[in-house]
Amino acid sequence: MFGRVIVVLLLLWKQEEVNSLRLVELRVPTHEREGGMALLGCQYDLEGDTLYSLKWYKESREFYRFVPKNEPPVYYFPTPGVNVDIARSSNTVVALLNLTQESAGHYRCEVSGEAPLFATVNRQKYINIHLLPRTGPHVTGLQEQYKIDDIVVANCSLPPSRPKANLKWLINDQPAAAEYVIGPWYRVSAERPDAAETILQLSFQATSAHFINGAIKLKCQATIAPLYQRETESTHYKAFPITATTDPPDVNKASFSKDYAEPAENSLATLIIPILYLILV
Amino acid sequence: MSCLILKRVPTSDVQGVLGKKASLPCDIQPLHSDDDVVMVLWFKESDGDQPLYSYDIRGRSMNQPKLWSSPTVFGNRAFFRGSATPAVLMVDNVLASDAGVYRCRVDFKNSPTRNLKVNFTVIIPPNRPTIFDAKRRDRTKLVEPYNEGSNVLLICEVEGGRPRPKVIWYLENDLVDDSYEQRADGITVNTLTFPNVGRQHLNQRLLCQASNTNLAQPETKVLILDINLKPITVNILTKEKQVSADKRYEVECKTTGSRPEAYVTWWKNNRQLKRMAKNFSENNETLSVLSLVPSVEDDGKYLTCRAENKHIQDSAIEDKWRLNVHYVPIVDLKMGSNLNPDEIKEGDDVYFECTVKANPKTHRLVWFHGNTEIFHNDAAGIILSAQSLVLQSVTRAAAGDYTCMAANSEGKGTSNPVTLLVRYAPVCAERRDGELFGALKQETVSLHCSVDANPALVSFHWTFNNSGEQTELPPKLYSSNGHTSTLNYTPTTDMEYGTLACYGENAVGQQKVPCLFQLVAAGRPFHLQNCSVANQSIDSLNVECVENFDGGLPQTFLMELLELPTLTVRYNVSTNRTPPYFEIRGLPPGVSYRIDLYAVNAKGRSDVTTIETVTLKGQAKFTGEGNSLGMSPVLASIAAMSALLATAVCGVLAVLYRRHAARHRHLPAKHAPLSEAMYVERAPHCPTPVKQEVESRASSTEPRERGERTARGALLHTTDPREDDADPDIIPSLYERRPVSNGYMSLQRPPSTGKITKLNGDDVRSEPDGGAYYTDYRKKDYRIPLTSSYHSLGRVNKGVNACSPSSATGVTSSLTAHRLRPEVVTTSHRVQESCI
Repeated sequence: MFGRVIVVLLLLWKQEEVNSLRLVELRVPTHEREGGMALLGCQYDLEGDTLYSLKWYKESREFYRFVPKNEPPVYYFPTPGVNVDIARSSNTVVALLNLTQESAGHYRCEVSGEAPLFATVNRQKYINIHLLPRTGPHVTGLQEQYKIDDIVVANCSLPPSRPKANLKWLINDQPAAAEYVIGPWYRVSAERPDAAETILQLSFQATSAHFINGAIKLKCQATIAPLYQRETESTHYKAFPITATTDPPDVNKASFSKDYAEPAENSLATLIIPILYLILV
Repeated sequence: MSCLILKRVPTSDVQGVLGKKASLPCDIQPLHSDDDVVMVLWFKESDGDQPLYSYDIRGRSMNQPKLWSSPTVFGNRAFFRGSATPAVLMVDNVLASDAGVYRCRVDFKNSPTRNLKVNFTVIIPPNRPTIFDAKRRDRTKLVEPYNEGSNVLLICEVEGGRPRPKVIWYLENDLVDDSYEQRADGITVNTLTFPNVGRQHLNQRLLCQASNTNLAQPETKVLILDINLKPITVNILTKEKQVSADKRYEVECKTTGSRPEAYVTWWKNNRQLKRMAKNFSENNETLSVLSLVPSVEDDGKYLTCRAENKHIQDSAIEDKWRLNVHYVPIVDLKMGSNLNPDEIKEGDDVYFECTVKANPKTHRLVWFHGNTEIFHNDAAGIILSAQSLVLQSVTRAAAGDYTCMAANSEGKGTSNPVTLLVRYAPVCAERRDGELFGALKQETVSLHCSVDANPALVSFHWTFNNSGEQTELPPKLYSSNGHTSTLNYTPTTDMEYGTLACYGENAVGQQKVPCLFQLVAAGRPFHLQNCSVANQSIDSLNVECVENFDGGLPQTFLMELLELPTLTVRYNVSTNRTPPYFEIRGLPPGVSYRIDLYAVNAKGRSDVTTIETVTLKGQAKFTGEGNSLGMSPVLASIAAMSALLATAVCGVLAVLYRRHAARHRHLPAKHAPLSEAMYVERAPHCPTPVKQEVESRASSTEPRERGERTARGALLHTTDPREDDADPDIIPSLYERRPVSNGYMSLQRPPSTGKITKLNGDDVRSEPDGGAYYTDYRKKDYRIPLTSSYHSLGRVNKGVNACSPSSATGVTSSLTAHRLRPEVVTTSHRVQESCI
């Protein structure tokens, strides 16, 4: 009986203590692609308090406020890179359209309760805005067939991106040995000075070990985490020395490239890519 | 996360001092004029996101904001002044825990919220500095002044302070040392070395200041420099040009500059004068007043007033005053160093040296012999020079005390007396030699010869001289004692009357001029002198006279009144008194008398001295002769009886006395040379002794005389003097006992010429042969200086004794001899003494 009272009291005290504004979750994407949109969610628990204000800041600038006592409650301050879709914004969510490079930054949600305490909570997250390449990686310099001891040389280039992409060569789905890889090189784009084209060269002497089932499979993979990954793959058969050089070079016959144009959703992308790969193969 | 939150938020740094007020600024001014502030919230980073202060003017004017302050943070210590520019959050009584990063959030009506950051640091002031000296004593609690010129080392220590304070030394307002050290133990130290602290630093404030912010007053500790200062000046104020010895002077000395008050001491040369000064101090001045009585020895000495600060070594300064002490000359007299003062004899040259110590100087010496000033006299051999007196060829008159005297403005100084002893051969002590002594034959007379001599040890010898033959007397007749020799001489024959000479001899030599004694045979007394009526009334009469030489025998005096014109003796009065004084009463008035006066001794009556006419006043009364005659015998007999009685008694006493007493006679003989000269001159005129019997006028006297004579004769076996006048009776002489009376000093004026004429002319009694001499002698004698004095014991000789019996030629008569002498009054007390 006594213990139960204590428990109740503890609960009541706990209730009192807890009876202050609480920020439950700040749902802000860390990366978004340029030109895209973003939903910023700020979930709070008033815990019985009354909301005085909800403010969104990008860096130290307030661009959105929700003050229930104001009429209208929502107030928007035009801010570079921050295009609020008022229609889709509320006391918990702000929708941003047409993300640009300027949109990158810290986004802070600050919630204040009413007088007298004006209990205030805030939390912020950084949103990165990426420029993704227009196409996938493009490979040049490969032959259709290679004989043993042939020198295999290929260049893989990716159109301008920001940040710089990560290119990687795979031989027979295995990352190429470091001594086979030269580069990467970067070439700043004329039209987007903030972006750069990425180039990575592969060069090695073919041995019999490279030929699996009589063929070498080469792949150039481009990654801009976490939004983008595409690769270009080609298969090259072993040419026999008897009929040496009788086969005309057919560069593109056995090669194809896959484009992963799917944006954003990592989880989706990770699911889809293997499926497509299987289907295509 | 908080750090991120505040990224890019404008930040200002604000300091507050512990315990003081602080202002946290927050600009709430809207960017646009059409905008308004609605809310200001203050946050502190370390306290999470909860506001600690709110300023709510939603729906309110700015004058009536709704304020709230978190009790767990500032509580009522904070107040937001929104009207200030910039608006500030005022915080009282800042705590150390108030430090931190604050954020103010300003909500505007139309513009974006403004977040401002304030980095608030709380300054903890340091503790109050402590000032130590080199011995680590708290200097501000120490009462120990620095000495002028010393070095001051002070350590200022400051504990605590955040940030660590600057510790700086100031002298008044000037920075003197800003080099401080922050020690690991949290103490900040600045050590000040301040060399040669001086007078100008007295009471200046040395301040150690510890400060770590401009927002609060620095912590300071002040040390007021207390400095012992050396005296700067010392002056003897009353440096008189001269001072007089033995007078009291107040000498003042003033010193300034010493702190604490100077210690003033006085020095005379190198000796300190203690307990003679009084000191008075005021401010940093000290006046010392010395009570100085300069002595003679102080002349030329330096009086020093020394002032020093006892706390500071070698701080003494001095002022000196050379004492010019004036004093009465100090005169020292010495006999010449090569002279032996015990060996100076007459004829020697003597000199004295007088040393004078004087300030101011003296220019002249005055010399004294006894009380008489000595003057330079070349003729007398007295030579005065600057410092000495020379006496050439001294005589014994030069003996005595000599002094020299010097004078200056301070007074006269007389030297010690120096006695000059002049050795000389004996001379007669009193110039009475040649004195007349009467002696009967076989009568022994004692003659005292007293000489002056130096040395006084004198041997004597006597000579006898009559008629030019000089014989040495046998030594058994005289005895000598020092400078006196007594001769007991008994003439037995006429030839043994004469001149006795006494010669003394001492180490210097023999007496040149002997002391002379004239021994004559005893005779009648000389007549009375200067008789006059001293007092006269209706019935009484007093007559006084001066006695004369008694003839060598005791004398009495007789007065007879002879009634005029019958010349009948009416009254007879006798007296032993010396000088004679007669008194008679009960006389009938209106009667005139002639008064006859006599001296009487065993040899007879002297010449008469007459006072011619004395008339008693009142109605003349005629008395018949018979009457007067009838009266006269009664009176005469009474007088005669009394005279006889007296004479008898005296005679008996005299004889008795003579047997026991030694004879002493000191008789002056000042005019011995003169009398000798006269003696020589007169000698041819001196006739052979002529007996001149003077008749007794009064028959009544004769029985008396005879009776006396009889009595004497019985006693002394004398013959009647009337029978043999030239052969005087040997009558005991009492003269030797006669003291020198004042009478002997006074020369009696001789009687007027008229009176003498009368005496000679009218009076039958005047000696026809001696009168001229008498008169002549008197006239001459009158010219003798008054200062001369002598004592005559002459005896009236009536021709018989006119020449000395001892004189072989008989030219020298005693009468002549005594008449050549000045007339002298003998004031003998013989009678009284012998009667006693």
